[in-house]
Amino acid sequence: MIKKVFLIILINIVLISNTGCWGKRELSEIGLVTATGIDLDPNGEIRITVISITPIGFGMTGGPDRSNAWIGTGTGKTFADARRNLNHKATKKLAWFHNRFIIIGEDLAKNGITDVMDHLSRNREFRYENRILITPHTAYDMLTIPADIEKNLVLEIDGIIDNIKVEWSKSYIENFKDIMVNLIEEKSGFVTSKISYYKTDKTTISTNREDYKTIESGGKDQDVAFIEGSGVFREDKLVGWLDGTETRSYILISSKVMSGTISAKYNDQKDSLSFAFEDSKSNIRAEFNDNNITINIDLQVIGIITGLYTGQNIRKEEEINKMEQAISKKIENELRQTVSKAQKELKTDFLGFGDHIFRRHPNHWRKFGDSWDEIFPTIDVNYNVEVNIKRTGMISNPTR
Amino acid sequence: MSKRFRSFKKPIKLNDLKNKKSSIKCEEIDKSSLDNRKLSQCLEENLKAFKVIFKDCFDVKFREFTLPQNKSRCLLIYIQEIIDTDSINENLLHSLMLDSKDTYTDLNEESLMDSIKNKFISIGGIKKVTLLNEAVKDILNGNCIFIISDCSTTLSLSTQNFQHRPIGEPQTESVVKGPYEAFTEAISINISQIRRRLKTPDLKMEQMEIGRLGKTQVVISYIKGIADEGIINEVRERFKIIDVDLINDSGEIEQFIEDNPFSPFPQMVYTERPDIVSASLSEGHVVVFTDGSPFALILPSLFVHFLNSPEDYYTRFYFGTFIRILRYIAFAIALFLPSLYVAMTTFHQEMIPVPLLTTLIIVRAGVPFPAVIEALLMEFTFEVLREAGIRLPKVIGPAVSIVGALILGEVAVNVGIVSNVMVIIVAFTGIASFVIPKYNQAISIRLLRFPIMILAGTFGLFGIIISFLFLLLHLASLRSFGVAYLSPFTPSSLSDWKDTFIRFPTWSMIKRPGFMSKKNLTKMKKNLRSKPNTNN
Repeated sequence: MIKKVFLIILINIVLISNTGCWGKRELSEIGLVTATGIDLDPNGEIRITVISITPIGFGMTGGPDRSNAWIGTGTGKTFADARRNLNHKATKKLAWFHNRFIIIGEDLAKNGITDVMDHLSRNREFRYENRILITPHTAYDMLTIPADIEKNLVLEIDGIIDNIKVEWSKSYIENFKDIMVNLIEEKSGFVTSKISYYKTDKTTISTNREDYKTIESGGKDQDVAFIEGSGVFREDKLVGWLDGTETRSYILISSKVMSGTISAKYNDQKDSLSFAFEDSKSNIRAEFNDNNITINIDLQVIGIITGLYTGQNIRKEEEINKMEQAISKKIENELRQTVSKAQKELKTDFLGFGDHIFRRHPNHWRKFGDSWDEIFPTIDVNYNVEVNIKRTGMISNPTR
Repeated sequence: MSKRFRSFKKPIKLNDLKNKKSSIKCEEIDKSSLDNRKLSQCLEENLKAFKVIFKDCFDVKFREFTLPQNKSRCLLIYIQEIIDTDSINENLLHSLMLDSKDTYTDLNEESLMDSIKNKFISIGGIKKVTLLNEAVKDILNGNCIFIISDCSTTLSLSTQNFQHRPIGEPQTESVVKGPYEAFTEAISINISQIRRRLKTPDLKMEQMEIGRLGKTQVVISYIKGIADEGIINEVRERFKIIDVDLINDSGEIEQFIEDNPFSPFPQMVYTERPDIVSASLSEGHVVVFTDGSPFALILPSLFVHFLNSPEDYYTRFYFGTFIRILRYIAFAIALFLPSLYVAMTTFHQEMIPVPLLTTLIIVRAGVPFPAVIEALLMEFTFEVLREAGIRLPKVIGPAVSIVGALILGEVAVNVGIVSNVMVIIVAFTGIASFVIPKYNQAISIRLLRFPIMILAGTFGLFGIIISFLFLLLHLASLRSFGVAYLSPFTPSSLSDWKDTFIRFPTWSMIKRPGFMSKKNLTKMKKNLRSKPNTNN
């Protein structure tokens, strides 16, 4: 009995000490990669750029005083190779599980992102909620922009992303998981956000009231990151860009409900009416006549009036109807422009028409699905936009 | 006078005495020969026997006197320290020597004792003893042995007056609202407190003596008709086996009768609160009182009982439920929190949100040890402090708590031996373990924390899950006097869940717990919920 107990204890000790601490990663050893950039070098190699955060210093409130952002790059034949090559410059074990977003340079995006996505999805450290952003510059340039007011660039871009998600519909950010779904389902096209930067000679510093001013940076231009518009992919390759308004049309058509503001011509004054939509619902219907395919887009937009720059009594139903018509006309125009861009210029069905036919009319899809890319630019699209003004804000009549 | 008396008596019993004298000689007396010896009619012989037995016991008093009327010699044997001398003086000596003028002069020796017993001794507990060792036992129990020369009967008078502490407040199970009285070391006081709460003849008290030297009085109490007969029999059987020198505390008895002596979990609740005991008895538990211990053992006891406090029932059920759930959470925290911290900071940093993670990285930056070592170190320190706090003389208690908690903790963090987050974790774990109302369950949790921490440090969350499953399996296999330890969760009986995580309103708990007993389950009338009178 005693022998048995002794043996069990011995086995346990050996078991624990031999396998012990496998995969252990102490907090002081890790570098938190919070942003990743991927480029295609001119010589055909993949370049990876990371921002790794190492917080230092005790803050009075317990939080870190400041963070050391280490920007490292590595190149390699493949993404996996480049990632390994980062290690000979990094002093910490790079950990990707808190990566917030991945910026893909235009060159790589045009070349196709399947290989990169394959590697990312095989690795458990990359979360599905990583945002994928496309930049017309190189990702390296984007990630080396100095932070303006936040502790580091990652927090800044993260803040911008959070803002866009809630109340700005001029950019649409797809996350890693959805892009994987798009690639796996072999959709003919998809859209994700575009990140860029502009140069300015003014930087903001936020201090107390006396000091508040914009500081001229002495003629030296500062780079400021911003997100607007989107990149359009056909299969896994970038084919073109959408600007803010076009992205909004895309969001409305594909029912990715976000709120946004549209200004319309009302009472014969340009942009005299501001309308913020809060909810929208689009219904795509396909009709088949002989060999003609017609797509009908029924769009319902519900929102409130956020600004009215014209003297007009709007406490009448016909005025409300007039405003609704004005807005729906504006929206319809925008939709028309975007669809024609998709059909004529980009020749990419990122709006989901093909997807709709594939799901709802599989018999028809079987007939022409293989040649959809040729058919798509030729189909007719009808618009039926219905705007519903729910409220006029806190006041009814304009202030003047 | 006595000399004449002796010389007068001697010739009559000379032969007998001569025969026995040889065996009663101090030098030659053999303890074993005294075992079944009868008390003799001869006072002198008895006196010698007692003197042999109580040799070198200064506290055993032999009081000789003669009855004033018929000059019969009398002998009182008692231990002065454990009897009520006032009672002897007033009720025996006084009445025999002064009050009784000439009432028993004519009586013969046989009826003399009966007459004295019936007319002159005003003491409640009187019994006749015939065996010598029985008399010795009675003396040791605080009785007074009364012998009259030439009388065939010997009386044992109940004059016990053991010194004990008065009823105080419970030290280990304090409540805000509820009875403030606690058991003491004297079993008679404890039983009186229970009898006061349960005035029913069905409350049975079976007495037993345990311990070769201690002869500790143990009382097994239960309510007949509510407690399960099988459990009562099982308790009796287990008690019969105990054969030791001395039982000082019910904790020693616990270790002899528990189902699984190697389990880290206690299988018996002990309590110093009479209200818990009476409530347990009324639910069908068996309660064991031990003389000399202020803690009564409640058996069988299940997992849920260790997380109950009487206050759950004395407050309204919303709050009762709230503190119940709070306690279950605190139980989990006390068991797993340091392990979770170790596992998450060394293996699963992805589970920690970035702002917290960056803070943790800074805080841990200067610490030279891995998180497991740090956690073990701190927990060990905490245990040392806690133990020191208990053993300390009360006068220097505050000094150690200041040195230990404030200076040691503060400086250790500043120097960088441990991180301040670790101090928070350890402190919170310690506080959470104090929430568990039953001390013996709390210390089992304290013990289990260490192996779980080591497993968490080597295998991460996987190790915690493994240890959790292992504990769960062990708990499910455990029995307390034949009742599954995890009842009513498994084997599952939903109706008994009314008194587990959620403490249902008192008027809705109509039945006694079904896992304790199968019969006589209803404990109150239905529909006792108070309502406003609708007639008015």
